[in-house]
Amino acid sequence: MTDGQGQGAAGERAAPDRFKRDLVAVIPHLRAFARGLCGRADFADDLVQETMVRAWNARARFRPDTSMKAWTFVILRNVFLTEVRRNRFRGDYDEAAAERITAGNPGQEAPIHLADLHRALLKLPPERREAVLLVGAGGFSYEEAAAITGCAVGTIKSRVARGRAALVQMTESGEDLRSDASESDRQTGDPAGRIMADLAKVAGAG
Amino acid sequence: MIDGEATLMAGTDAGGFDPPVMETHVGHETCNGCGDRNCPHCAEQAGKGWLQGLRQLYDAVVREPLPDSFNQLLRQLDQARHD
Repeated sequence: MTDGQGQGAAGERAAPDRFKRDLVAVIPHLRAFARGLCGRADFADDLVQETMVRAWNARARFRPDTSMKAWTFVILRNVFLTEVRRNRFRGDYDEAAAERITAGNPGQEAPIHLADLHRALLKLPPERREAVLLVGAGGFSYEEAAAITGCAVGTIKSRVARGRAALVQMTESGEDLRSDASESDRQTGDPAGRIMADLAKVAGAG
Repeated sequence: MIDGEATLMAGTDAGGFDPPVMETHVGHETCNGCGDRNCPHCAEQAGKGWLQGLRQLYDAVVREPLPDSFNQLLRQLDQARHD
């Protein structure tokens, strides 16, 4: 065996190991993004596991010089949209999961009640919710979030600004946070139709 | 995350948000949460609060231990690679 062949074989062995290591590292972030998108811990973990399988099967197409986090977020988003179309799924509030999360900092005085913020987040139209999650919580720049969602940077900025305004308004006023009506529902009075229209826009932008 | 970190992150625009431009009004400079809707300090805190809260929600999930089902899936994927 020549040196070059040896390095090649070692490289082939190392690449999957590195891929696996990088994939494992982003799992917590995938779970957090998925939880924010759908609001349910069990469904979010199903989304993440499906994302992991798809990422693993597509690992030959992953470029090691790019971001594993951004790449897997794109896959997760596609898995989520597929599930939404299939099941007409909508964001739902998981009381038990929310309790675990919001009880995490019992001694901390938060300016906003986290349970209310969680409810408000799930009432945002899907495209604003994902924009707010990507930029506000996920640490992505506007440019990265635009690449993940397949839309223009200006569109992402607008969605984040509108999402932020709606979150502040809802959490300050407490308006409708205990009801089932979402912001997008109220815009048309047709919850299912509005959700599907929002998703069609998101899918069209992607 | 330590308690003060979210506040620090919100103030440094780490997520690409433009920090709010606030006027400083005499009488509210030392406000510690009067709740007055016209108070610029409280308005600023509310503006940052949603971002802090969002990151707390996100980070709380990030810090959760992974359910064992994830380790099982990783073992299955590894096994499939070796088969």
